[in-house]
Amino acid sequence: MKTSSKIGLILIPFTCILLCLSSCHNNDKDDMTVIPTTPLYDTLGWFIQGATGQVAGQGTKMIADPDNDGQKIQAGRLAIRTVVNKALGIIASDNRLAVYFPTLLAEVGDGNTTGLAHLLNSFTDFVQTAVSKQDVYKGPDMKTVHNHATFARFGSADHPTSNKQDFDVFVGDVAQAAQSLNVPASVIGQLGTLLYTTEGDIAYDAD
Amino acid sequence: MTMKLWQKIKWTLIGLVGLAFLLFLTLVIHIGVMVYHKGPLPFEHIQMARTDFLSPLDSKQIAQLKSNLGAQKGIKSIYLNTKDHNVVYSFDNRENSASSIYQNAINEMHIKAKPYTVSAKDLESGCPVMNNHSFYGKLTSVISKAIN
Repeated sequence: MKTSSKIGLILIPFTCILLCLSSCHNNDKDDMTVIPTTPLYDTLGWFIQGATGQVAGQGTKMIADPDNDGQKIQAGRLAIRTVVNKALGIIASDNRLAVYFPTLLAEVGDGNTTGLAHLLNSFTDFVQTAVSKQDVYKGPDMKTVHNHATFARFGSADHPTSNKQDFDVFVGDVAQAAQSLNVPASVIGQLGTLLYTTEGDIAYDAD
Repeated sequence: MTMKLWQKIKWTLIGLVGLAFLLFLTLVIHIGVMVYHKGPLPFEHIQMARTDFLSPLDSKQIAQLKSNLGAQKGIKSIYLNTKDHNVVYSFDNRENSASSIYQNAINEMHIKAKPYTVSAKDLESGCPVMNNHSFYGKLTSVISKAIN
């Protein structure tokens, strides 16, 4: 075998790796530029910090995470996570919805990461993406995962999709959680409107 | 002739194994970049449990239930649902377990109650969360522990 083809055999994989790494690097660079935000995200960040002073820029402001020692978190994300955390408790107690979220109430071995922690994180990612226009949610799209035919973990053969009624209960539970945390009604209204934009993907009989 | 063929096979194999190794390395580095300095998940050890009551509780029972649950070690939150007659509580799973909290706070009240259990079959369905027992999930947690 010629030396040149031997070199080629080694060089080609290296080129692949370099390409992969450089593409990875570019993404990181994009993340370092201005973080997207919206008035609603800023309002949520402003609210969680005690609702004083100006609203603009409060959503993406990095503050100490009260529930995670030594970590920092965007104020807007903290507000969303606080509401989602409360909502998950209400959802777990709701007879109509608990069946869709078995991971919330599953027994986890001593000291292991819980389903609650995972669901809280991915749910917060999803809402943060929707509210702030930041690209943090990396999971599958809502339409795919809310149909037993395309995502085996959801529902059953007899009950393959969720319906409008389920979705109304779900939004009601999130709104109840936000209310109990004294989130202003106008903000809850905006959050509700935002959640309902996903209804078409989640409830099969949506208008 | 045979020698040459063997040489060819040898180099092809080295190339393929090398490629597989480098691709695996890429995966590891990618995961590394992804999880580096990410820190632990918030509420990593907070677990939720639920108990259903067979009949509505009166106000005295509710007060006792809340104080019993609040006195348990590691309890983080209590949510009482008076419409569906159940209570959902969260706790730190390094400090306590769902069954021990049920025994000490609810069972001793002698009210008709049933802890909510999730079967393995139930867990196969429901909302998607990353499966930690998959190869990718295990690899991610190993790398995360190694570099953080």
